[in-house]
Parts: sequence; structure tokens; C-alpha cells
Amino acid sequence: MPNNSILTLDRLDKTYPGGIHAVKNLSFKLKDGSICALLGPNGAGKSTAIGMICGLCRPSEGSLYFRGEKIVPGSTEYRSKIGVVSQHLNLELDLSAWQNLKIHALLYGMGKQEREKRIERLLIDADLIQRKNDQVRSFSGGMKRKLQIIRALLHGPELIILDEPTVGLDPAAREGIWDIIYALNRDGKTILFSTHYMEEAQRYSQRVAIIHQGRIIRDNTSAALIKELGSWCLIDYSDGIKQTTFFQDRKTAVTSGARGSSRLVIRETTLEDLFIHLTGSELDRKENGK
Amino acid sequence: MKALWAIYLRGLIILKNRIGKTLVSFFLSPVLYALAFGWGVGRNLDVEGVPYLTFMLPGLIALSGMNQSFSIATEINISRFLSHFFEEYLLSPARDYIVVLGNILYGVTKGLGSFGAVIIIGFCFGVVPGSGFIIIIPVLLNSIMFSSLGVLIALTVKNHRDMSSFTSFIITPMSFIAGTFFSLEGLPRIFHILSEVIPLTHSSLTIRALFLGRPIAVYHYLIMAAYTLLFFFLAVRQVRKAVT
Repeated sequence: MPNNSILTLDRLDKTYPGGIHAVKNLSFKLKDGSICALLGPNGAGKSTAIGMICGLCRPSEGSLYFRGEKIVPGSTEYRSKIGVVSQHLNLELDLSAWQNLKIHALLYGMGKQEREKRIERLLIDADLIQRKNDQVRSFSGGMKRKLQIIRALLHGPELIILDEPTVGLDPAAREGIWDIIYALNRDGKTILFSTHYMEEAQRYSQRVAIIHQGRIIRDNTSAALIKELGSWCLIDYSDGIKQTTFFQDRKTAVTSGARGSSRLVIRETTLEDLFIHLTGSELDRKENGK
Repeated sequence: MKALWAIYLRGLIILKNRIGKTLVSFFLSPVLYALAFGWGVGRNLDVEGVPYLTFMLPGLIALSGMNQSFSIATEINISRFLSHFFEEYLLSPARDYIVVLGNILYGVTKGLGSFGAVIIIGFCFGVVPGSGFIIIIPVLLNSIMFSSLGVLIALTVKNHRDMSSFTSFIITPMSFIAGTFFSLEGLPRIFHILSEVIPLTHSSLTIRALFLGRPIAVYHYLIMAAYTLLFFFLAVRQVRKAVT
């Protein structure tokens, strides 16, 4: 397999016992040093896809490649090259921040000197050094998430995978988390993250892959995806129903709006509009039996 | 080795953080059993040629060791279903058998703690092991066996309810029909057959024999070793299936 990407998913398929076909023929290449968002509605197959990438679940079919090398299922070498921030705050609450990090470092075989230096550095960077000996139980949600992120970085992974890293956090904490993630990407780390917050995906990712019903239905930069749909949208709220029409330019949208009702909004198309258009509309059609 | 230490260290820190509660749990049940059955009901009773308390105490060592060692199952379950910390092991380069071994070591530590507690209780009641330090062999085997079972069950169940069902239907009945509190001599044949299948029976019999300075057939040790290996390999097989 030619290697110009850090991670390649080649026709991944996952069917769970019981017959749920969660991921279908998923192919995807992640460029080295890039930051990519994986978007999808609940149950779209995002978590299964991420689970397969992290090695937490085995694909039923298809293969994964890391820097062109096929990943053998259960490969411990591959696991040491990735850092994973789970959606759950999977920290040991009875342990201190330092102890959580120490256990992670030992699991990855790090020596004492390197371990202590890295832990100290990362705790300083995350502004958690003053709380290093406190039980994680006493941390706020944002602090726990920060700790989880620096834990994933501790062993120096080449690829960092974050599954909904800002879920459940207040805007200030979210901003703090993104500062860390964005700084990592600036330092050359490859980032793959999933999120439900469209504005985060639009703002921070260089590329967006939208997964729906187990398949990637769009994969490009958010700007290109929006342009493809129409950079401007006209939202009509008349008759209590929201109807969105997309246009390539503002002028056409305004002209079109002038002929319609007075309950209109004209604005630039966002990734959220695109997401709802691609996934919501299909769901609506299904729900309406069309 | 570092990964094994990491998993064991986590257990040790948790144990240290809850040392008060842990010590109470080591002592409470054995003290109550010793008071109620040994000192209360069996004060004037001889079983297999020894006072009942002397007969019962080795059974209590086996029972308490089983309970403490198996209790890691609950902790693994919490780390699987509640804190999701178990994912940390699965995502790390630690091999599956290391994950199982690390948890077993933790269970064995708890099992040995409970052994110490029962020995202290025995001293308080004037009962001491007749065979000296060699008793540690079946005690260790007992702890390894039930820690392995604990890991296996914790990685197999689908939720907390399944866990408590296993304890109610398997662990608790086993406590009473494994020769811990009464002699198996003279019981109907069906009980004998049943007790032979139960791993705790072999722990009780070996620990009691060494405690009382009596001979014991080697096959009891072999059965314990066989169960241990079986539980260990099945637990290793379950590690990757433990993703929630």
C-alpha cells in the first residue's frame, strides 16, 4: 500500500454478533500532520470506526495501515504509537493526577527518569501542576479532560485520537481543551477527533469526514463541502416549518428571498447546515417512510 | 514487567487509600463467624477429633481468602462499566496475559491480607496453625485460583447485575458446602460428588490438613492448580471481549 498517509482505513466493515452492521466498507486516508474531524449523528458508526482504529474492536473485514504497514490485529507496537482520549473520562478517580500519569507511563514501558520529566512538563503545560497530588475525584470536568489528554500524550504518540473530547464541558473549558489540541497539531502531531459540535469541527479541522449509516458520505475540507452545497442559505420559517435552500452567492439568496414570505433568514452556510442537510434530511425521509 | 507493575501498583494505591475499610473487611466476617459458630454454637463441640473452633478456623482461612481474592471482580467491573479505566489497559501495549496477571497479583495481596487477619483472630481465640509457615502454599494457591476466577467472571459478565447473580448463585452456596463449616465425612454421596467439583473444597481440605498437621493427598493441590490454569487462560481469552 503506497504510503503518503499516517493512517489508512481500507474497506473496513464491522458487523456485531446479533447482526448489527455498524460500519460498511469504510475507506479513508489520514494525512500525516493533519487534523481531521469525524462527524456523524448518533448511531452512525463513529464510535465503532474509532474503536477499530484504536484496536478496541476487530474489523469483520478490511484492513488498517499505519504509515503503509498493515496493522496486525492486537499489535502492541501499533498501540504504543497512538494516543487515545476516550469519550468517557476514564481516569482512576481514587488516584492522584500524578499517579494516573505514572501508571500510564509504566503501561507504556517508560523509564523512571524520562517518565518523571515528561509528567512534570505535561502537568505544567496543562496548568495542573499545583494539583498533581490531589485525587482526580476532586477535579472539575475540564481538568479531568485535560488530564486525560496529557495522559494520551505522555508516551509520545504519533497519532492522537480524541472521541468527543469536549463533550459535557462549558465553553471556557472547551476553549482550553482546543488550545491544547491545536497546539499539538502545530507541533506536527496528527489528530483525528469526533465531535457533535459542528462549530468546533469547522473551526479547528483541516478536513471533515461525515459518516452516516456506517459509510463516509462526504470527505473534504469544510470550506469545500460548504461551497459544494452553497455558501449562502435562505431559511424560511413560514407555516411553522423550517425550510432551508442553499445558494452559491448572497445576491441569489436575497433575490430568491424577496419573492417569498417575510419570515426569512439569509446567512452564510455553516457546517451544521451541511450536516443536517446530509444526515437529517435522510433521517427525515426514513421517518416519513418516503 | 513495567506494565505488570503498573496494574498491580494501581491496586496497591487503591488498597492504601482505603486501608481502614480494607482492614475492617479483612477482620469483620471472620470475627463474626468465629464468635457465632466457633465460640457460640460450637463451644462444646468436637469435630474430626478437634474442638470446633480449631476445625473451623482453617475453613475460615479458605473462605475469607476466596471472598477477598474474588472481590477484585467487583473492582474490575467498576473499572469496566463505571470509571471505564479498564480501557486504559486495553489501549496500552500491555499484553492480555499481563492485564490478567496484574489483577491476579492484586487479588492475591488481598487474599493474603485476609489470611493474616484470620491467623490473628485464631491467636486471640488461642488457636494456632500446627504446621508452621508451610500453610502458605495452599493459602497462596487458593488466592491465585479465586483471583483468576474473579478476573474471568468480571470480564465475562455484561453488567453489574450479572456479577451479583454469580455471587449469589455460585460463590455464596460454595461457601457453605465446601467443608468450610462442617465435616464432609458421613454426608450423602451426592454431597461428596458435588463438593469434589467445588474448588473451595480442595482449599479447605488442604489448608485444614496443614493447619492441624495432618497428611493430605497431592491430588487436591493438582485440582487447585488445574482450576487456576483453566480460569487464567479463560480470563486471558476474555480480555479483548471486555470492551463496553
